[in-house]
Amino acid sequence: MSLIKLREITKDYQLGKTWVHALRGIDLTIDTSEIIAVMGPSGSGKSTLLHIVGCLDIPSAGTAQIEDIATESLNERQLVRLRGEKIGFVFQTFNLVATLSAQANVELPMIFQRVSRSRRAQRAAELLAKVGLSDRAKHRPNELSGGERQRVSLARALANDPDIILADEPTGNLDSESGNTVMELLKRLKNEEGKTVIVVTHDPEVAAFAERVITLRDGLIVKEKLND
Amino acid sequence: MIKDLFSLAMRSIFTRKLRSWLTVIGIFIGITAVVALISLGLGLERTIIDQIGQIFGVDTIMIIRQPERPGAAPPLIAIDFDLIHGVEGVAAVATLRSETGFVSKVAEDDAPVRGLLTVVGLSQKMISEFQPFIGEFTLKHGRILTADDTYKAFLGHGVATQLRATIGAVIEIEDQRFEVIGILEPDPEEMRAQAGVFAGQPPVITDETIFIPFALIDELFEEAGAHFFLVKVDEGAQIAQVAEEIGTALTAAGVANAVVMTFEDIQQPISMALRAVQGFLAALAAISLLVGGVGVMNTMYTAVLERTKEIGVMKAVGAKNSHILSLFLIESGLIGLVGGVIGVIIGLLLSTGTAWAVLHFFDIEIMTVISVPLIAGAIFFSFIIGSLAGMLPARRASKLHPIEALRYE
Repeated sequence: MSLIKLREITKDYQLGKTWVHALRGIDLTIDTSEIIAVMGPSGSGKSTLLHIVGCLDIPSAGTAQIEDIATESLNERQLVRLRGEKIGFVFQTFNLVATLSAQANVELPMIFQRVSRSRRAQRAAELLAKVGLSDRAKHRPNELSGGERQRVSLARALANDPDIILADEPTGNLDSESGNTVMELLKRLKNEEGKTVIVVTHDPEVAAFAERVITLRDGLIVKEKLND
Repeated sequence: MIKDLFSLAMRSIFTRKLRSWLTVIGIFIGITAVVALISLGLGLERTIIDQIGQIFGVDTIMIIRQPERPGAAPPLIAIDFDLIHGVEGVAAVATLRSETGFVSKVAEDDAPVRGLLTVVGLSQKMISEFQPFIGEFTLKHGRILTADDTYKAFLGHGVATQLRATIGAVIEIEDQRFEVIGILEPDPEEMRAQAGVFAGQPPVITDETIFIPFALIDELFEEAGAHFFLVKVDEGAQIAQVAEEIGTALTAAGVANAVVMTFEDIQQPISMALRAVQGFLAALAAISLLVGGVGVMNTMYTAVLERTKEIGVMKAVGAKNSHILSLFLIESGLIGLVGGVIGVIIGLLLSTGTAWAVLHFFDIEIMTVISVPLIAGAIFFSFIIGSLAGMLPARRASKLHPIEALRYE
């Protein structure tokens, strides 16, 4: 079943005085429980593509459907809701809230979904256990290593049990061992829980974890390859 | 939900301790000033009213004649005592008239002593019932006037010395002979009959005064009457009602332009004047609150800038604009609230301390008033200032585009 359907997606935005044509016509279908890597040089439109799938942005033209919902028809409130329920983000720079403990960071998305306090604490503990950080729950981000931080951020992405996990260079700031741990976790989520994972990366080793690798250049898909 | 946003806001306030405290200082200085000034003002007001009450008596009614122009001494008013006694609820009536008269003492042996001196006609009840008005007379020799006395007088110490009068001496006031029956001790306080002040009369200086029965003063000076009458009401009587009935009785008897004043009437304009001063001072202090509010706004703008990325993350993980707005509003409101609470505490300490210092160093007692509405109002007001100051920064935060916020370095 196709979970994400992108048709003729273009995205233009203004940067200072010049218009940037970030995406120039993307057609892409992603199935449920697929792990896909998006590669390409800087400025090729990888992040923009991720933002559109993540409902952080809407396309300038074309249609983006997530579970048959066309995101361009949604208002901001509805986008926020879809994002909160269906999508989890993992960022290159982790983007944890520095003032909150690992546990509280994982609870954060559930606060905005009005999950009860006790349910939140329980779920956060489960997720931290899943990423192997039960003993780090009370630590603040600055007391954790890069790899640990990224695993907290992954636990946070899973907080509202989303169908789709979007990871923007998740291993970009990690050593290869930590990077592999994170990728193994993402793969396990796909295999065991049927999550759909989209990973933006420069690193061919990371891309090797994916079932399918697409390469962008100047806002177009120039190559699509299935891994064995 | 609110509870969770609340604890998130608390967290960010406490992790930026120094800046938060500095901002709180900006608020609490203003609140401290407002609370201290108003508390002291209220205390001062109560002290003054209390003192007026001690002199004038809350159960006392004063009758004067409408002055020709405001501020002028009221003209004489002549009232039959029985007329007022006829009103239900009246316990006692007294009056006093102060005049300057030509006084002389004819000495048998040496040259006569004479001069213009203050002569006060006292009704008997003035001494027995309205003592706070004229103070206690402490005798050195002889006795003071009783109801049966006619053409008798007692003298202040200064005037007795001046006239070289002793008990039994005869003095002439406006060509009428009086026998001296008493001489007072020197009066250290000097000023008496303060009640006259309420009727626009200068206070009587006991030491320099000759006291005679009120009934005789009409004979000595032209025009009958007194400058004011005092009425004491029965215990438990409705003062306002008695005052009204006295007014009606006076009108019925044809006494023109009589003004019947109760303690309330006297205290009210004083209270109003004090409150106006208080309001003015509080308004001045409130300017510093405004500055504090700008400080909060500044801090919140900085916080929004600093946490742009955090805002982006929150939006990415499902925070609505309203969540972000509430988060920052709660934060600035809390800063205001904490500033308000601290300001109230310090303000009350300051006013109590000032009252203590005034008592200690100047021996003037000012009551300290802890006003619940003032406390509640000050705390609420500081919360509102904090929230208002946070409004614009919070709006800016909530309107940030998630992608731009995430990209912000």
